[in-house]
Amino acid sequence: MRLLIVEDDLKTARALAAGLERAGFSIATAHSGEEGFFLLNSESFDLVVLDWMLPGRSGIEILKTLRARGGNTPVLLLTARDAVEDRVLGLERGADDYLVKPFAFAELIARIRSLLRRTAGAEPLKKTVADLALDLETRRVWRAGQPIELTPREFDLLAYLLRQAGQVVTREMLARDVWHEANRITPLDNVIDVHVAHLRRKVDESHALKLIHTVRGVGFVLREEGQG
Amino acid sequence: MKPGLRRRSLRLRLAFWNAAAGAVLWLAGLAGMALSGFWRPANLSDWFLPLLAGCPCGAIVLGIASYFIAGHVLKPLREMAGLARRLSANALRERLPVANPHDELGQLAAGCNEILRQLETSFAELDRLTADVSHELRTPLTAMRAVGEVALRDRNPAILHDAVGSMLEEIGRMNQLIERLLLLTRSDDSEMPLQMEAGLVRRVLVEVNESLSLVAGEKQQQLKTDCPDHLLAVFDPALLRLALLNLTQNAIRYSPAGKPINLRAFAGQDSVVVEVADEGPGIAEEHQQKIFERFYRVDKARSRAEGGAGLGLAIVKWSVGRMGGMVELDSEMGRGSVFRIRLRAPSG
Repeated sequence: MRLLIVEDDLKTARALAAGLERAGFSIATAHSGEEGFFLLNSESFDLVVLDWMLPGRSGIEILKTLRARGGNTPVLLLTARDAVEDRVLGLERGADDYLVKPFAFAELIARIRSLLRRTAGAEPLKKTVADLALDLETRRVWRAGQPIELTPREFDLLAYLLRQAGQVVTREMLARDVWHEANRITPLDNVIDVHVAHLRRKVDESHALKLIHTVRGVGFVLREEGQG
Repeated sequence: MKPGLRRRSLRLRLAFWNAAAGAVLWLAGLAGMALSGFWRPANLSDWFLPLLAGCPCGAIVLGIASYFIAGHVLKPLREMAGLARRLSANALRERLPVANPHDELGQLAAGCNEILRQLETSFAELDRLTADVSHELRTPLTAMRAVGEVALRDRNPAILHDAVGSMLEEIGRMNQLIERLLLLTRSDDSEMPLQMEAGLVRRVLVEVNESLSLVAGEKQQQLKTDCPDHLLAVFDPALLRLALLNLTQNAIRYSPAGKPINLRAFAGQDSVVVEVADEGPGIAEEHQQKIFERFYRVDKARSRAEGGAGLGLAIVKWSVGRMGGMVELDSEMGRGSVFRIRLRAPSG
């Protein structure tokens, strides 16, 4: 998968490129609107990470021109402006998703994967990691063949972690996607921590192989221990 | 080029116009007396003397008198002008003297003083807020700096890893602080458009209870919901949830293990009342008014250690205020606290 990052802050651009390369993407970077526009016209990308505020040609102008010419590359807009009308404007101009700065890198990866998945097709209804299996349709969960009883919230939480298996998930993502809390101010951090602790007790406690891990300062990840 | 002397001084202008009026009055008086036959000038010099000598004399006397009277009357205005020149954002402490609060100039001076007082208060509040914010930001920065510097001395990757994690935690804390502050200071608030509608209060209470019952369970606290099924109020669901989550989390945080917390709602006289009641230590009288202010903490060390930034109740007040409601606090030391939100009842 080849991604283009258009971001004028050198430090940010370099960190994003390094992180996304480690996550297995091939990356091209542009540091100005003109450069980004030139690259977009001369090469083909699977996805563009586009900063809104750019010197020269702004992100939103690039997006407008790209869409006007019929380009349908998915675009993830990065913005420091988080007013609702700005988001609406961004989405109207053809952005597929937006992310408000400062964002967690884990969230960026999750959004990129979800955008790429959306363009690729439907997701399977049964998911497994190691000996953990989850059925999205019947909302049932098994560990080593044994069914586990989960509350609806715990099931949603586990399904979300499993969908992002191997990727770190932040509390902010969980608050928004599992608790459906639209604003970032609502204090849910300890609520999430307690739910994860309960889920961990049900899923991991009686098994030697732990699947749910805490990543300090970032969030949680579901993976087989020893990786990454 | 300077404007003419008369254009610059109201006092001179008044004196000039009064002098002119004096001359005109004098002439009118002479004419009146002549016409009524009271005064009959016999010859030309009888005409000249009153006209040539009396007219200017009257004008000068009236002009000088009114120059001094105007000077006296306009003195407050001169003081205002002087004060206005001395004032700046840093020196708003001065006030105008109000000689007579009943006349026009006195009222003007009192009005100016009121504006000055309000300006002084809001500048002082701004200063305090800036100091508080700097302090709140400096605390995580200090921690990050210390953690980073100590970790760099070590070559152990596990310690470095841990240090980065700890720094990210602090960054998250700072980020949350900034977002909460932005929310509180943004007046038009495009971040959260208001969606006021009549809704079931019970639904929000149950949601909050569902979210927090596990957290309360960790402290063996029972979270009870008590609300009539069909109780309606006018509110924005996201804002009410925000307020109740903050209040209930505070109740869980500050009341001891095993004490129940009550989320209840009922129809009041002309409003709908939603209460979060705990059996915690209570809040002392002297804190009760200030507790809704930004960054006000009853127990500074303790609440920061437990993750509070001193903005929770300010956000509660803000969100309830946006819905046109009110927050009240009833608290007694040793007995517990009741935070009461009053919402509008749907009309008709």
